[in-house]
Amino acid sequence: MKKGFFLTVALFTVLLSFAQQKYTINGTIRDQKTGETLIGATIVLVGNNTYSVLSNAYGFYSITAPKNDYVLLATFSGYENDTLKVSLSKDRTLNLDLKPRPTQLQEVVISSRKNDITQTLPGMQKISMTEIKNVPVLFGEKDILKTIQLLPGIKSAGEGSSGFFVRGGAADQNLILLDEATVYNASHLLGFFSTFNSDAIKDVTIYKGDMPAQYGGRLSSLLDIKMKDGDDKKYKVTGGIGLISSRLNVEGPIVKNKGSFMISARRTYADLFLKLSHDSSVNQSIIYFYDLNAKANYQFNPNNRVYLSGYFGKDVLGYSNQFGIQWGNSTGTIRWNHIFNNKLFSNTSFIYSNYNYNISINQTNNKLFILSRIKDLSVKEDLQYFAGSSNKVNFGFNITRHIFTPGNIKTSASSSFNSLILPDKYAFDGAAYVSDEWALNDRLKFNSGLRISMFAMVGPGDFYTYDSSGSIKTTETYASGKIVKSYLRAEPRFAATYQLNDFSSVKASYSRNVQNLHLLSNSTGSNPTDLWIPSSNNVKPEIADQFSAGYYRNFGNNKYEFSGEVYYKNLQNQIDYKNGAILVANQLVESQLVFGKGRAYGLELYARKKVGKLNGWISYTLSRTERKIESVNQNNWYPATQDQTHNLAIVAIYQLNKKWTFSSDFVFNTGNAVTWPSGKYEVNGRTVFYYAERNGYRMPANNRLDVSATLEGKKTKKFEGSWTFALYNVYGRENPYFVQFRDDPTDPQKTQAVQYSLFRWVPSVTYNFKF
Amino acid sequence: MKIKITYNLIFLIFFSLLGCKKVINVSLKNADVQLVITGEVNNLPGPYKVTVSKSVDFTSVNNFPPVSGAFVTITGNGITDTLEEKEAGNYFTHQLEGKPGERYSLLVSVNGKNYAATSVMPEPVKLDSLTFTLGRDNDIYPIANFQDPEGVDNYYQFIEFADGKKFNNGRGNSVFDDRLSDGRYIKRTLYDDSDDVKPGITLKVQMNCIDKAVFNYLNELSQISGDGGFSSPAPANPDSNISGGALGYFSANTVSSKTVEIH
Repeated sequence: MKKGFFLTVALFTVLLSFAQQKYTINGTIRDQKTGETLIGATIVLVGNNTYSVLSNAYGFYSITAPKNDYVLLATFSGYENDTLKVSLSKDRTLNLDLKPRPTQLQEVVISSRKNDITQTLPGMQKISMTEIKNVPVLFGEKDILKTIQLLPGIKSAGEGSSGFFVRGGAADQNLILLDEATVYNASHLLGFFSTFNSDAIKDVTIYKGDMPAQYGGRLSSLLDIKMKDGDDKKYKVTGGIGLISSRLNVEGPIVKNKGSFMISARRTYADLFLKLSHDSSVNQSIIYFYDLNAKANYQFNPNNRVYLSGYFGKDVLGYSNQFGIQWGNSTGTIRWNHIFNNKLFSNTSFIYSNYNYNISINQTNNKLFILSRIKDLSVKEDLQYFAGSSNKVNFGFNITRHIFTPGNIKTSASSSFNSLILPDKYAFDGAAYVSDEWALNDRLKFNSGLRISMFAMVGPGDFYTYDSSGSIKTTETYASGKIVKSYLRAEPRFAATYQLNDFSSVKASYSRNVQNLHLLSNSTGSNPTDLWIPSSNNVKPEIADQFSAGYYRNFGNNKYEFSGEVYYKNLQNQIDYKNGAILVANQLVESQLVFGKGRAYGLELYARKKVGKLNGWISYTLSRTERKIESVNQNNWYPATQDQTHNLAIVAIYQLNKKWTFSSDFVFNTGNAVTWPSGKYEVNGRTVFYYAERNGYRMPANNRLDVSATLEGKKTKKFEGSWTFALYNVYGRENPYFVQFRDDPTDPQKTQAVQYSLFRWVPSVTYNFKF
Repeated sequence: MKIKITYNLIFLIFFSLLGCKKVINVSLKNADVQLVITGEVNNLPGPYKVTVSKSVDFTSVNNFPPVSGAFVTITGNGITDTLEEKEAGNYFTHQLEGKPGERYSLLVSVNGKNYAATSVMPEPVKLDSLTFTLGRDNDIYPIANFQDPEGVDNYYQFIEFADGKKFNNGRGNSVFDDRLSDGRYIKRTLYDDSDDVKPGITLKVQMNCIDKAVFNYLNELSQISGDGGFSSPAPANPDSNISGGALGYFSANTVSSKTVEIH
């Protein structure tokens, strides 16, 4: 019996292998000029059947097909296609180098790019560095975070702000990764600049909720930012000199074709201009930031490559030597790419991330120093198994140890304040995942995944429970390493794509995301002092369930692309604050919170012209975002602050000739929901406004047009230079930043509403160079 | 507080370089008229005053109609004092004497509806002295110097008077608590956003010791009276210690004052 069974199995195995006779081609796709690996390039084998695959985050691909003669086609946006004949009769390694298309005066190149409409997850968008370079922005400093705000479903947190909201989520519900490391505060200078120096960035991808199972920990989105590896063929210096900041980027080979490095630095000098001001409160102010990106990689042999990358940034601001705040992120990643075999790719990452701020107050009799920090150490293992011609499996795990330092206060002996050390808090965050990309046939594809996430808050420390008034009910002391509270959550994710014909497809998806780190921010702006807290015995993990569907279509020989997506999102365990909540240096901070739920739904339309002298896109979002928070507005649903009914962005880039490129963007959006008074009364001789409901009013709508022009200088083999002139807010529209209600200074018997606007006509000029 | 000031500085910088402001017309919904009660019992000799008034629409002038004919009592020290309406909407005690450590209960009846509040008068803390510091643009800020008692939660209210008068529109009003300062010798700078403090005037600073609920109320009140913009939470009505749905607050507090001439 037993023998018979084995025989049958053996026979089947032989039969199967006969029937299939499949071979695998694998390799890495690179830029021919710089050796940069290309992320998300399409590799297609065309024979009796067509097989296709995308290169992964490290440019690796693996494609398996039956023995046959094929034409292999490799395509990547902005590059010449590569075609070669492949006679597949054994496994082979085929590294491909694609030639970048000249950026000047792009010929209309129409590629076989129907895969764009089928390969990606719904709600995923990529934005190219060329687009980021060309979109005009405030102060002329090209900015990833401000450019993605022009995509559908993504809203700006405020004029000139790098903060953003995705599909009705809060600002802290975006997972921002720089070379796999979490960036906790992605803004400089109160959000007017993002922490990402575009010179150092290779690839930007945003997932609006349906993120791959490999990622998790935030509800709304994943913004995956990859730094450049550095040119491994020749040394290169690029840079820019602007009115308020300058940049310098150096890259080159460590060992030609084997390893490279890249160092990029940026510094603002806005404070130099402040010295010109007559206002003493301005000219004695200190305000600047700098950041540094560095990366190196080395290929030990064809199957092993190691990457080191780091980011360090700091903001400094203060007033003479009396007050000062400094804050910044630092991240570090060590990654090891290992190719086990032609089908199994592995990446192991060791990740460090640190965000901290410190405040010093230095007055003669009151010296005070405050430090707060969040520090992460992680190990992450990601494996990709290119199982066959129609199947790709991703699996792996990660473990992170978080250390929170909520606030250490040190004071001088004569200070009015006591020294205080709020005890550090510790948590472990882990996840294991598996996902499968499966093409059932040429038309139907499934992407299914499951992520199991675990979060545990551990001792040492005192842990409290609170009664309804916020007073301590019980206190329990936990020893070091003892689990205070743990949460295990399953996060299923599923997406299906059906290709209707060569130029259109439909997609549908469901995904669940769980968030265990929460940013306490009781203000409309983004403050560096906002506090990250972990899920705990009092704070439950936030949960989002998102359903989305979309229609995707390419027109005019793939020159134009269009997409329409709808989504519905349900949010649980959302956090809000009690009246007058004390969030700073408060050991009992969890007693200041109230909880509730949220929902968001909307329609996103996006049309884009990808090639030609004139290109750009139009994006429109119609949406609604609501919250229902305990004891706010009689427990009714109400519009969240970031609820914007209409949001329109139009971006156009026009290359006139080899010298001039013009670009513009126009935005229009409904004003945010705001709380304004519905009456007034008097207390202690002061006029006090009466508020009838939270977010019961609307700010006036915003609209703005920005333009820029880039003039390319003479190009020599050794040197390239260009000037960019930009004007932000061309028609000087006074967009409302906030509205203040106050007594009329000229007539104390009356009250008035005063609208503050931030930026009107901000011109800028930047000189960029490369040698 | 100082953090907030530094922080607003940046905003100020951007604003002073690039921003602009203008008075706009907004159409605001009108809410039902609200009853407003404010009352105080302190450790100085009486009579003590309770004020009952009404809210008005945003667009109306700042005349807040007094509410006459209310029945107002304060109970404490074992007696109930029925207040007398000597001016329209202002009610005064007869014989009540405020003592630290005592609990005082306010009851107000208007048109058959009852509003009640209690407040416990804290133990007094003495204001030792006033000193001054120069801020931006040579603004003068007073510093209140006093010893915070160790081991108890203390809440303070500061009220400034220039030549015997309160500052315009409730300015010169601030609160402080010893949450991060217990037992310290406190030098509290009073940033009052006012140019009332100038050479030639006589400045009086009154420091009240208030209870926790009153502190919370006044603290929330000062939050919604701020810039209302960048670093403020969404405004909400401060949590009152008066039950029954009235706005305002009732405080039993001690008083300690210092007066100096500014040269």
